[in-house]
Amino acid sequence: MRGCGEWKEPEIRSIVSCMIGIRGPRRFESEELGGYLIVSPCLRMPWHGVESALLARERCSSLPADDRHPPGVVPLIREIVEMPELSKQATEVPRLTVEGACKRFPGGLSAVYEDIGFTVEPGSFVSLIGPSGCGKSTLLKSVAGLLKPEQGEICWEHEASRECIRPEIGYIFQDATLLPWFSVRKNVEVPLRLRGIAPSLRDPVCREMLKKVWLDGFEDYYPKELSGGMKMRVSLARALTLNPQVMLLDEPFGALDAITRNEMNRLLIDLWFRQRWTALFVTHSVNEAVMLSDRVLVMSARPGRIVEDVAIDLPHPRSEAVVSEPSYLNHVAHIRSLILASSGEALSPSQRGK
Amino acid sequence: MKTLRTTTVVAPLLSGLLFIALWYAVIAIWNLSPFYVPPPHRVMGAMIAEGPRLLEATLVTADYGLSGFALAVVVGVALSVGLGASTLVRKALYPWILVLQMTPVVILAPIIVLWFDYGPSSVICIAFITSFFPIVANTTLGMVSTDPNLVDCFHVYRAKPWQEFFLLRLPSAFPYLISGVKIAATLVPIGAVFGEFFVGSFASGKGGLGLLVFIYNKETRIPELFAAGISACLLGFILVSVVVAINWALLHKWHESYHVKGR
Repeated sequence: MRGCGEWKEPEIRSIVSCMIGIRGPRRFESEELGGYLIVSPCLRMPWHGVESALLARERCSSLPADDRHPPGVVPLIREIVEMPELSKQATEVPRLTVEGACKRFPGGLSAVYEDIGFTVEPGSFVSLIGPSGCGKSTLLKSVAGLLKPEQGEICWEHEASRECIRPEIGYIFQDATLLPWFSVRKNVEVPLRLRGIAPSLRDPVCREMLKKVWLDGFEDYYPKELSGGMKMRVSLARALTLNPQVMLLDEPFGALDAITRNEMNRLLIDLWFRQRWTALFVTHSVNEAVMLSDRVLVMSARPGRIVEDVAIDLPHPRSEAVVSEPSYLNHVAHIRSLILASSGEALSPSQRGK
Repeated sequence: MKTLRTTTVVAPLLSGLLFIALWYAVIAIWNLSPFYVPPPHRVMGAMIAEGPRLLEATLVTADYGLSGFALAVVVGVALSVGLGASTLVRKALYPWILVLQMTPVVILAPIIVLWFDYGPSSVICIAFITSFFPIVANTTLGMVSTDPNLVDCFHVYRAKPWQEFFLLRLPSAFPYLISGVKIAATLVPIGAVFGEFFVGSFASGKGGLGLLVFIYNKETRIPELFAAGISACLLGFILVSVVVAINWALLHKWHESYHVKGR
């Protein structure tokens, strides 16, 4: 079997391009290997090396016999994924830089948010909290590229090249935002389908994602047959199918009861800890923000500004017992006082912390 | 299951029988002349006596009515896609579609006959105009009512415009489209019968229910007139039932209007 150094550079570049999702899955012929290397955009994360190799083997085993890969392909995938310079280029999570951003809607009397500036380091979990109407969701949509700020700049900066790139984003809305005419399986595979990935490659990915969110066995259910928590888990699974570099979450658990909300928080933090995407999490709950985050950005009332960037110095992973620790309680009290001071009115019940 | 059978079959049957009883009661109480208000059994007799003629006429009406209906569905949906896709197009064209709908078909009919001559084309055109607007109105509403969060979701995942249309906007508009088609289905027999009434017999000598109505009216055969009316109702009922069946097939698995049965 050829080692990595024996592949021609355009071939490797082509494979890496596939792996970061610039192009769809490709088939590379190798006369020396005597078969095919089938690469999918889902195989690009280095800390998924083993997982990706297993996925590849499972995916390849579901292909027709004449497309079956030679035995040496799976170790070859792992070798390419773990090549230091290539895997870094292929898988690096960019840094978010927001400078002087301001957003005003047409006909609006005042800006929704203004003079927003912050950075989010790759792989960190940052929460955005503030009074209702302060522009948190609008800011999140601006970060996702769905809205463009009138002033300032929002940039996902590639560390090596310092260029602004468009990362792979998973977005979770306030409600589950499922397509009601599709089953759970078809909802989860939507991002893959939109990228033109073949059904035979979509199916194992969907099954794995549903297993991760404890919904295996519900593939053929429709959204109207699911509870609120289950719908949100489907939404989470869907967001994870393209192995996102960034997860943007807009109060995803706000409508859930306290018990389900705690379960979902545990699931979310567990997935983040294993996959280490950059997370920007909008919430109304101070307790939730402190429990989950490395940093909490506190916004003022409209027009929203960043009042303070609070670093949460509690170690990960955080158990339920942390809620009784003095440092946790201090952070919660401090953030509440910031919100009170900036909004100038009593906190809503959700912000008093459940 | 017992309750379902009671509500969907027995209840309408009982209310139908009640109506017939009321019909007899009204004739008896006000001593109405059977010439003007024939009793139900005379209408039934006319239906049996004129059965073959009524059946043939109903099939002719169904033929041309369905052609007009199919045209209304195709043109209506295609136009709605355009209206839904562009605010400018919608603002430019929708008022004129409304004008067409508001113009009484009795005024349009002679113009249509002038353009398309006395024949099936005129009947199809009148049936088309009668059933076209509910499809356009409802489907356009469906096209512009797509959940904005779902649209944002598709943009985040970099969907191409055609993917957004076929996987999101069109399925999202289905309930509205089917609702419009259901309304249009009730209007098709009205349009087709009126068209035939106006056009008369075709060059081949064939005529639908509209022509029979014209003939029965001229000969003051009132029970037969009622029988023709019932035939037109039955035609509409069959058409609506087909649309309801299609509605069920497309929507029963996922739409909120269908109750969830326990799994």
